[in-house]
Amino acid sequence: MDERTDTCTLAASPQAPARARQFLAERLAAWGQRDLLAEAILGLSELVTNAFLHGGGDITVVVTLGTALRVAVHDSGAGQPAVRQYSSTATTGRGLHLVDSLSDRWGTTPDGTGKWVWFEQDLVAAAPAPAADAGEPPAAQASPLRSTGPGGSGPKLVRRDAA
Amino acid sequence: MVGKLVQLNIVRESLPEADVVRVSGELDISSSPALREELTEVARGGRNVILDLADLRFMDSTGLSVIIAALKRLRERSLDLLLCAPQPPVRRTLEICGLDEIITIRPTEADTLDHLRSLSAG
Repeated sequence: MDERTDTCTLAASPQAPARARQFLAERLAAWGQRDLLAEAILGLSELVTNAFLHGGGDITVVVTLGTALRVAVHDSGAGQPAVRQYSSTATTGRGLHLVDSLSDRWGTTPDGTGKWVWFEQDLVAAAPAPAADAGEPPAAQASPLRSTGPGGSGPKLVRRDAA
Repeated sequence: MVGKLVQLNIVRESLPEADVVRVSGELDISSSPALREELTEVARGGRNVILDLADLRFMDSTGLSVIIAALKRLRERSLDLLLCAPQPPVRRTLEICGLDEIITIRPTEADTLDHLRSLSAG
């Protein structure tokens, strides 16, 4: 399968979410996936913000485009995130609710040095690409637009439902 | 790879109907403290506040938190925070979190001012 991936490592700082968004916007533009941009940018911003606030160490962002767009964020914190219940006037606690709403799947994967928090967006069946777009050629005519189930060849992925 | 990062610009104008705060750029954890400070200060003025989002390109949940904190502070004083002109990505963030159900959102700043005038006339 034609799969593309890229990685970016960021120092934990208040600027990390903006740098991560810029990285993702550049990748998606280069890969001809602007349709996914708004949701992916927002989801990534939430994950990197959480990594900065609640994680630890450098923040690594891995973006992979296969049959779905996968965005994964690593930090060195051991704690596991959970969607919190919140009232409409609570001032915090919405980040993972946004990720849950925007993505087709999300979850967390602990590893030896911390954890990955990730989400996936299935690719929408694309209309014929506009001929005027002089960017890179569109992704290989996408094969089945479904993920082949959790994990694939990667580490086991654990979906954590709302607490 | 890392170029210049977009900051948030904030402009305040005092109109007869309300204090208007116009934001442009991106609202996230690095830029939200500036807006939090601005809205805290403007809330001391004892007037309704309009937050004009027309030129805001991005907002995540950190920005929502700032808006909700300002909304609560103003409503405690029987005043209101009104939003106007959110662009699609920002509107989406507002809608997913249900903020569009608890806060007045109007399509333009002029429309928001009309709305306030009609309230005070009624």
